Amino acid sequence: MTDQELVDRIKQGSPHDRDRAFGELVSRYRERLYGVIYGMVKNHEDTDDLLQETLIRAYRKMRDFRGDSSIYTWLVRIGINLSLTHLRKARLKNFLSFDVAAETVASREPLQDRMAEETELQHALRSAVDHLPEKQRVVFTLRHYDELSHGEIADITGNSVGTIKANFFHALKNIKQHLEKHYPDLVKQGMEHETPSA
Amino acid sequence: MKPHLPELFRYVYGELGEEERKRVEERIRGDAAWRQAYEECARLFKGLSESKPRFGEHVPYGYWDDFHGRLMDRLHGRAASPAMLRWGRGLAWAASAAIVGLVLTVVLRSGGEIEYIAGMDSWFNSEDVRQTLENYYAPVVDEDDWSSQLDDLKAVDWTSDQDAVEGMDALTDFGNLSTEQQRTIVEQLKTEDII
Repeated sequence: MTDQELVDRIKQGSPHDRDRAFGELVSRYRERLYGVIYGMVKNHEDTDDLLQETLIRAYRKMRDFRGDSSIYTWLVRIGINLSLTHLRKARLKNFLSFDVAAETVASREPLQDRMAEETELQHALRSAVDHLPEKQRVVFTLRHYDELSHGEIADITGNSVGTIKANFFHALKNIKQHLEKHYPDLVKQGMEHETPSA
Repeated sequence: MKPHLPELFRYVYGELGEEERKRVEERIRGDAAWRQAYEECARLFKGLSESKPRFGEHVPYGYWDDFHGRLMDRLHGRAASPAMLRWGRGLAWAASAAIVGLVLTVVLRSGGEIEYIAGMDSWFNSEDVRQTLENYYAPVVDEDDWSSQLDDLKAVDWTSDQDAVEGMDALTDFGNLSTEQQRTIVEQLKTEDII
């Protein structure tokens, strides 16, 4: 059954059909959605809550889905919007509680656990991505990790394709600069060891 | 020629059309600055691809097992959202704190606690209570005045039921005396040929 058929069932089917079609749609996209939301909030507890909220909102607003974009990009749009709202609230909460140390919402994974599983370069890159401004991080995550096209990201964020391309370029540039500033040895080391062919 | 980074990034990501791609490749081959910039971009892209989270990397083991059930429960209102639960817990805590605060305010404002403490103090110091406590904790028999116990014991007619009851009381009193006092009484009773 195609996504569109599932959407039609959710819109027009009996309560039982609606639930079954919704369950099928959820099982198709839940992992990818989880990855996108996790990329924003960086902890499982909040991701779980936001993922469920995203899917419930989608179910209740399915009648508003006109099919101009794919159902997945529509789901991602809901997820991203909820995540951004969540991040803003958390930042305000941190500000009001004078919690200077809690720069991000997320209780980040222990550094040592992550370091144990990845190379120093990978860790440096992840750190660079985490330090991107919010908008660039959204665009970068969707483009690079979720492999969505500029057009799809434009749909999700409500920006033009040109803006998305610019955001993506600035994200890459910021990542590069972050590496050069905070991991100069790593950058130098990499230059000496790798020579990709043109 | 100064490398054009947006174009290079797009080239590395495979986003350029055929013509643009060929143009960039020519520049990379013919220009050292472009080549160096390309190498940096390509290495960055490679690193970023390797740093891409593995599928389901952050998902705890078994998370998806009950996901659908939890989602449907929440969808149909059979379960509160985690946010609602957190809010509910916060509300319960706030309500408890408010009640405690209210009670304290009322008590402090009315001065009730001072009256209560003052009342307890005067009750403890009242003559009746003092006497009651002294009687309760004082030795049953004055250590220096055991002769009454001796007289009581002497007076007991153990053949009479009535006297036997009184005798038991006297013996109880006798039991409360110190060993030395008991020994003295027993000696006295022997001397007088009572026992």
